[in-house]
Amino acid sequence: MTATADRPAPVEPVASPGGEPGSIVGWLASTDHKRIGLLTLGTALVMMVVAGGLALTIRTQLAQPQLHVLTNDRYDQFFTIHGSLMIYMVMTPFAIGMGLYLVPLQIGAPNVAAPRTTMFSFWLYVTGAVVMLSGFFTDSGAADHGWYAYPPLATGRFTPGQGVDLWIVGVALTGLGMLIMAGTVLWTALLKRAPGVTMLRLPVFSWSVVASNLMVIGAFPSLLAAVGILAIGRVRPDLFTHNAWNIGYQDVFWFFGHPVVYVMFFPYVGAIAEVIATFAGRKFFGYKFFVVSQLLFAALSMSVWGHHMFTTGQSSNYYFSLTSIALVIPAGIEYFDLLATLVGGRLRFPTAMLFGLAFIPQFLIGGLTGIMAGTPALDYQIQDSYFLVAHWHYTLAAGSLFGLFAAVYFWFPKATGRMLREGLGKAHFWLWFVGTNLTFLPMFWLGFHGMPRRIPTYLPADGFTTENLISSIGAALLGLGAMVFIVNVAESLGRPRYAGADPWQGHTLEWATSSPPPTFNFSARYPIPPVHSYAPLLDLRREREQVRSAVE
Amino acid sequence: MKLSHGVVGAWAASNLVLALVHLAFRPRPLPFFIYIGGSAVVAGFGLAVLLAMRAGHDGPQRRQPRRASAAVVAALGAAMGLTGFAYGWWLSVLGVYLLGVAAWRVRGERLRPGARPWPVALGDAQPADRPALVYHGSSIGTAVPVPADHPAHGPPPPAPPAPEPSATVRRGILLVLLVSAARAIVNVLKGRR
Amino acid sequence: MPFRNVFDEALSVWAPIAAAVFFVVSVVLLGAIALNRVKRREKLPFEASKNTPVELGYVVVLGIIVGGLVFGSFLWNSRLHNGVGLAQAQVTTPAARINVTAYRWCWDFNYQAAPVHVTGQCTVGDFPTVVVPAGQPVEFNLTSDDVIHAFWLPDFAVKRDVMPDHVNTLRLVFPHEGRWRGRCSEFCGTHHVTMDFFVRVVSPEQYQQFLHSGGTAV
Repeated sequence: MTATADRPAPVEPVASPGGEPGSIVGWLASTDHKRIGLLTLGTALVMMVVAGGLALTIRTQLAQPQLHVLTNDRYDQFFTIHGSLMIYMVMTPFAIGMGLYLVPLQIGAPNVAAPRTTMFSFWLYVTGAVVMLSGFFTDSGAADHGWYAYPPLATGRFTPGQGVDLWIVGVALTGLGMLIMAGTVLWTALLKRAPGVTMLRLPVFSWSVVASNLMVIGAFPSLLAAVGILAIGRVRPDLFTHNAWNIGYQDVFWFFGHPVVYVMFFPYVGAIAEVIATFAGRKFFGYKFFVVSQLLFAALSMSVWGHHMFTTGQSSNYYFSLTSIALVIPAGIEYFDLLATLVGGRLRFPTAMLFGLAFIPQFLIGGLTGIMAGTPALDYQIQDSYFLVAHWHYTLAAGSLFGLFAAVYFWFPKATGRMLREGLGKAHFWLWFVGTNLTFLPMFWLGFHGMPRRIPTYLPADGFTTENLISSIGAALLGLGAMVFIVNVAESLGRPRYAGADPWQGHTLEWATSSPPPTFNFSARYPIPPVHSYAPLLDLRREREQVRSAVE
Repeated sequence: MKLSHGVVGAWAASNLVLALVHLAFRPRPLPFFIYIGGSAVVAGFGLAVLLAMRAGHDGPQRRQPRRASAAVVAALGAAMGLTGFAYGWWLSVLGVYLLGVAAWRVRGERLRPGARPWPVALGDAQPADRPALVYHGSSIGTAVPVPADHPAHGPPPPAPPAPEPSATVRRGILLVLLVSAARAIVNVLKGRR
Repeated sequence: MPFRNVFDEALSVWAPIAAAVFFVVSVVLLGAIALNRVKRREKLPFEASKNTPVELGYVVVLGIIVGGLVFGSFLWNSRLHNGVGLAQAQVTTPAARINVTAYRWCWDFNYQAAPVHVTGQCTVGDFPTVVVPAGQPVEFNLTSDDVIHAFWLPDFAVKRDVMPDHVNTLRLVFPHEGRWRGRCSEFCGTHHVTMDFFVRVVSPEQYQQFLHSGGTAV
């Protein structure tokens, strides 16, 4: 890879009053969107390791019938916190944090709008995560009511103890933090673009952040309302003896709970679009269709929340089935554009591209089974079964997580100035590719054969043993792959191989500046190039090639 | 093309359409109004974008704050305040103190108009050189006045800072805080929560 | 057993479509990977970054597919009466109306036609067994004493949430005699896993006998 050799020695800044710029305080109270973004992404990765540890324990317990690694209650805490961490503390913050790091770079802005407010939101997120996890150290243990905390189960009457209170506080803090962070990033994308960067020249990734953050603005207030209702229910459990409040909570919660699934999807699919276009060496195909379908996708996904409530008998099943199935249209367009970009490209296969390519069929499995779950007649069987567990793990783990790792391998050189090791990266990829499918494919069969979700154990007579064992072996591979990834990051930071400004021949503005970018992203030495399309650097490269061939 | 507010507006409108389609399926009132409410929040955001654009707040931002310590303290205060829900209201009172500290720290974080953070970074700045995990950041630094003809002067003149709350109001807030803190301490000492 | 039939029919339409889509996407993907490596290609296979007519045509195709799927979904759901199963008019024998109460962590079954009451502890050897007649419509009226549960018969592809302060109705026909397992599928706390029950389907004569004997003789 392009390692930078001789650059002129930097002009060392004179001593700065108030502390070293690279000091801890300089990081933790920074107003630089890149630092806030990296803090958010790093915290999310740490939380992922914690959540992964919980998941591995769960899979250990389920590997064979009637194992008792954990008591029932402890098991309930583990799956609750695993789900809560992955959704509130990992995938959502990472998605929004990627937008925070990349959007100002991609639109040529010096910083995010309202950087202090953004830092405030990061600290709300961190404290929220700490508060939620601190539940493990209370007498009653952490929250154990599942990640969507249905009342009356989550009220003080049926789940006493401070774990649930801490869960509510943690979710409220993180939810508020993510709402604010998404707001400032969206504000930046809409209002703070450099001259020449019109909305229709925004890179695909930035558009996906716009679509996803619009959903956050519309949906996250609903989460705050839901945990508010729950908090009232903790104090007055009698509230939830009335059906109106129970079903009302489900509506309010899922009005947040479904859009958030797409918040955990769009930025990753946007990242994969960038990765695939870059490593196909061509402009992304069907830009306008992709953008419109992203926005349509986002709007539709605000209207599908009731498909989580098909079996309640109190939801408009026809309407929510209609909107859920209509999601096929925008999703189909996105797949068409991704595949057309691939078909029309000259493909290179670094690790980021491998993760991006695996995303396509794996997320497709999640999407196709999702349309099944959006058909009420099928959902009456698969709701709350392992089929559903398999379905959303295919969307979130086999889909969005692969997008997350594609993004990490792709932008790590930009953010740190160092290359990740390709060999370790490919080992990580193959472990995850095999492990993910081993883990989650058998769960479809388990669901069809009657295994309900959230059960701590099962009997030999149930006939779930083989599938569960395969699944647990797959989970072990995932754990191994994660360790390879950690080693890879440590190796790259400890024994750096420096990356140039543009190690991948990227298309978008962030590759025009140094790695890592200077304080305000662009400077006299790394100016913003002219922007005439959504792939300005590719345009420049093409122009140079044309000039060269004309000269020859 | 100024699409920004149009994107938000069109998006909110398409949500409104989807919400109205729901009416054809005779929904319960709550889901219908949640959706209307969600669309209204997005529409409000779009309106804010439109107003900011009218006021000339679009284009790259030139004026930057130099640190965010008030934000950190404020977030910790908010977290402590909410955690009082689990451990008792006295913790919330302590959180309010942190918010007070944040309010005190926030003064002077944002640089004067016409000043830019150290090191000089816009236009003629040194980029980050040897790729390393060292940022010469905007987080800490002093204000250096910018020459009048420097491009760092953005076109729109920044708004004047908001007026400080009057001394009476501040004294009143302080009094309330002191009284509640005293009560909290007394209660803790008596072993009540 | 309307649920199982509709489920099987829906799945038999859905699974081939899903498999075909997956197959097409995989073939395109693998083909592109095999043919378009940098080593094999001097130039891009095609330069165009958009093709509006093709994409618009594709949108129309997608729209037609979605129309078909929505039609199927609506049709199947209406045949299940929006999750209830059979229409009220189809339940001809009031003898088979059963009030089901879920509580943490077991089930109560009360027969409306006779003072018969079935319950259990939901521990090994003490699961409640609800007895129903074969070939006749059965109506379950589901409600909960405490938290939200769900009444799931995996072998019949039917599930209905059991909520406090609300009655959900379920009407279905069990065609064959036999014994099947039912489970709680909405997480309800510590012993959610053992909250099982059994459905025993007997001939109508045996069922009448069961009712008259007060729930003992079967």
